[in-house]
Amino acid sequence: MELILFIITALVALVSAFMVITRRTPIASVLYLVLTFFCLAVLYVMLGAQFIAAMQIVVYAGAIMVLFLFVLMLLSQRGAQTWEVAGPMRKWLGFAAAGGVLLVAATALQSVGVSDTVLDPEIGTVSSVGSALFRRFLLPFEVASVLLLGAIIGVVAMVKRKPYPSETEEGVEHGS
Amino acid sequence: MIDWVILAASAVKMLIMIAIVMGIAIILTWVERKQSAVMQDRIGANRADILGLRIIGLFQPFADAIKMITKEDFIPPFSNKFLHTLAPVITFFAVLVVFAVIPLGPPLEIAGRTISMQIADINIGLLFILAFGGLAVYGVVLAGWSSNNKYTLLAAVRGSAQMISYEVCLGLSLIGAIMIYGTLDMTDMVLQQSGYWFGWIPRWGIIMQPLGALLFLPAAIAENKRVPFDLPECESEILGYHMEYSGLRAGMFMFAEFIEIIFIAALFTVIFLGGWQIPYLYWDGFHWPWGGMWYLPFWFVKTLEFLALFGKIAFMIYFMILVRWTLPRFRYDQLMRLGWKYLLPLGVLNLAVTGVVLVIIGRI
Amino acid sequence: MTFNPSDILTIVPEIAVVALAMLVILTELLITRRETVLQLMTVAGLLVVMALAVLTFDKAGGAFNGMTAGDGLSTFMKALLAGIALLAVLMSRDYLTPPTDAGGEGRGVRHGEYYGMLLIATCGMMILVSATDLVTVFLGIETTSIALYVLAGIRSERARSGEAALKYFLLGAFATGFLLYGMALLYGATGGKTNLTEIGRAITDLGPDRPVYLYMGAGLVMIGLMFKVAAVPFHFWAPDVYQGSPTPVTAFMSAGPKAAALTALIRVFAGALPDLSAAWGPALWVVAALTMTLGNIVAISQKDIKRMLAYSSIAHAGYLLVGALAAANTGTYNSATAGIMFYLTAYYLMNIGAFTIAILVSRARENGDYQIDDYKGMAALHPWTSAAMALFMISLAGIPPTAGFFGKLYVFSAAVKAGYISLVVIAVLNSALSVFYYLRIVVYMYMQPEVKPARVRMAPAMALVIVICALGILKFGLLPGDLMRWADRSASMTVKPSPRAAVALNDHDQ
Repeated sequence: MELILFIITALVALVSAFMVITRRTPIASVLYLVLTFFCLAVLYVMLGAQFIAAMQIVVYAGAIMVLFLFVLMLLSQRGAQTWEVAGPMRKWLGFAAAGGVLLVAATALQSVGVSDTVLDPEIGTVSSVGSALFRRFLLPFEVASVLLLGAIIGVVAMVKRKPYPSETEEGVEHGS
Repeated sequence: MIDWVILAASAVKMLIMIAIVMGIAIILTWVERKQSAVMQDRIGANRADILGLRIIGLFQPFADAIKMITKEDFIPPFSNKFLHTLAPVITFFAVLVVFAVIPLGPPLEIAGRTISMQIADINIGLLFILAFGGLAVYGVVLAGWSSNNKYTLLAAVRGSAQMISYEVCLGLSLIGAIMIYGTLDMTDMVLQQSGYWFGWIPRWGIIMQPLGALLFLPAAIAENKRVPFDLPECESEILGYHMEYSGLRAGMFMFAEFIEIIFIAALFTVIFLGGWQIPYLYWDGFHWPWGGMWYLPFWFVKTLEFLALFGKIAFMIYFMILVRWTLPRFRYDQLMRLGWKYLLPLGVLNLAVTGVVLVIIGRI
Repeated sequence: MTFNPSDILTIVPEIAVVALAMLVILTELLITRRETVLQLMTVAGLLVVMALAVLTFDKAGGAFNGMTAGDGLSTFMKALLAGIALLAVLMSRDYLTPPTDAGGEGRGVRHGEYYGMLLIATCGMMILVSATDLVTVFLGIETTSIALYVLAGIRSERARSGEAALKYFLLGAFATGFLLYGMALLYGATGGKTNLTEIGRAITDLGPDRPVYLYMGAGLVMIGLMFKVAAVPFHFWAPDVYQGSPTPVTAFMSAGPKAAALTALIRVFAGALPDLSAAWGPALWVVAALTMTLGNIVAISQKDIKRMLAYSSIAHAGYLLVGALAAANTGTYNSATAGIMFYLTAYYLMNIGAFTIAILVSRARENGDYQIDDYKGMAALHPWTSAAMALFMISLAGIPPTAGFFGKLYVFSAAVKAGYISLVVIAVLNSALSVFYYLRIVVYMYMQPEVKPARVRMAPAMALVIVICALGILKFGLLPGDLMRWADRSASMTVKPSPRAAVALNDHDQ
């Protein structure tokens, strides 16, 4: 039962991931990526990591990918535009990069092999994730808030145009 | 095998849940029309009849349904047919699937086994709701985009911005309650709301988290895109994201909205109104705070609890319909300002105060 | 595994920096005469941070379950980073508000946000220098990088600035990807360890039978860190980003992140992966040699002083990598690390000084350019400024009696002791090469007829920066003892590589 579910989910994840990179319209790519994330969430549930699974959907499928769609729709009203078709050089570079990643992952997996260690079933629950976050990883957790604060302020600082009302004189393009 | 028993129980629960939700939603379409009529000093829908039998227009939903199903289902040319078909399905799925973790009543003990009244008794219940509730925005975005229409696209952009913005407030308004209950499991949340302060104030969520409850409602209504937050839809003037839908597909969007009303009411009831709890009612009857008792049989207590849950849900549904026919629509900038400049900071404040209080009283 | 309140002592400087950042941003909203107040506030705050960093010196070892360390290396670096931010803030105000009639850049930037981002970058670097866990290393790098992407592009109306930000962001994101992938592999290879010391122990326990992907992980982490240090062949972003960014940001960027990433490099490679030094030692050797050679050769042909200083900063990264290589050796760990600390202090003073004068000269030009030709004959008009610039150039070239000379001396002598003699020979040859382009500016200023006189308008804050830098260089050049003693003491109180490393590292000089 679980094996069947795993095979189906993994196959869908792989196929949709492949579709992400082969579709011509960006919106289709994004939607396939959402599907991939869903399959990953299912795999997380099967590993007992319920919290991570929920976060996968809340954060990736529910927030980040929506923003992707949002930006794509704002950029192109018709949405009919396609990716620029990559030249052979870039295609081969892409293949090489993907091959490299695959090689590293394969080497890593091959030397790990199949392990039948039984994981603690509590490992993925909210309370165990929470106590790991707030005990062992307390400092990284807090630092992450500084990181996000910096990102927020930074976005506002870059996007907001006119500085103070009194100084709205546009900076003239100098020397470039 | 034990698996099959659980599977069967789940299937039965699912069927019951869908039947109840659909049933209420159908009636809601009528309630909404009638309530608007009452508030606008009209009579409202009263013409649909079967063999001359009208019963204050209660057959109206059936007439509506027949009309909707038999209408031409038109897919605009040059639109993305697959996504155009998919969008209402996603919307419908997203609002239905979250009912899986809403408890329909207290856990029952039958034949020595505790049967939870949730379809899926998972320990991340509330996260599940936030996760799948957040997917409803795909319905809006895809519907607007795939219709190949400038106005629907604009409405979709408007709608997705609104839904993303208010999703933040929605989550934030619930975290205070989660901190107090210390659980994400919906049944546990209800159980946490038993007990009394000073022996007589029931410890419901709305009393422990008044600000949280106050923030939850507007955020939830905005998520549901209803007046006063109905900018993505705007039935009357500025054209909504589902303008290019007709027939059953349009009906699915409308129906999803009614189902979401029920869902919000149920969620509010479970988190803030003590679920199925009735003040002073224990397993053997009422224990009044001024002393004295009123014995009741066990089955009667359980029935009362089920009724209390549904009564509270009905009250919240009615409240939301009242809001819908009372308030005017926000302007877009007002909507964004309310979300980001008022609700969000208040949500953070609520969180901070809750945390400080919990530390002071030594719960953390 | 629990929270120990006294751990907070080790991150007091970070907390203070973040608090200061928020305070500055909020103050900007509330007051009217913003520029001066904000700058004074930031400067005062950074002085406090510096004092805090020095006061928490040698207070504690590891904290927060081994996530961070309050050891000598990190406290020294924190004080240094606060100093870098301090001078960058001092030189920023006049850059951001140029005289109305003159050419110049920087109009249209909110000062509070600018200082805020600068401070958040500083906080990220402070976290990075004290990180003793892969998680904190990563977060420190990211916090720094994101703030720097924004700072590079904060003048978004200017095409160069936007280009710099975008280039930096895209390449930085790639580097982060490498870094994370490498960390994931290390995590897997060591059986789920993120703490640097634990990783070192786990690798030792693995014995000679190490999985291939452990090496891959180390390699990818190295690539990620090399990018942040701007070492060849991961330096492509540096010249364009340095040229396009607002100049105070360039000055900050060339000193701060380099120091932080280098410290992380020492901590990760000497602290966690000494057992693998047979693999990464030669790689680092080649990278160091390439970095200084390429940086110096390309710097010679530059016409733009910002680009020249960018390539010079690449070259200096190469010299510092020689020190990092020596630091990975147990026997010379102390002297090499102390040498690096001294070098970084000297480099920061001379580099920021040079950039400050570059701003002044560019402000005197109506087109706001940074041409090296602008320096021709400057000495006749501005003897003091020219003298300061000459001092910075001499120090950058590493000629005694300046701080730059002693920095190189300490680093190279540690490397010689560690056995990297041929690398040091390359480094010394490179230093000789660099004299050419550094002294060219001095020659231009003193021995060329002025073509178009650059009327430099000195601003008090700028003058202060130049004076601080010049005095610092002279002080550490004439009497390097104090700083060296402090650096030595800091280095001796650091988590060191295990003795086993000495065996593995012994003499594989190529």
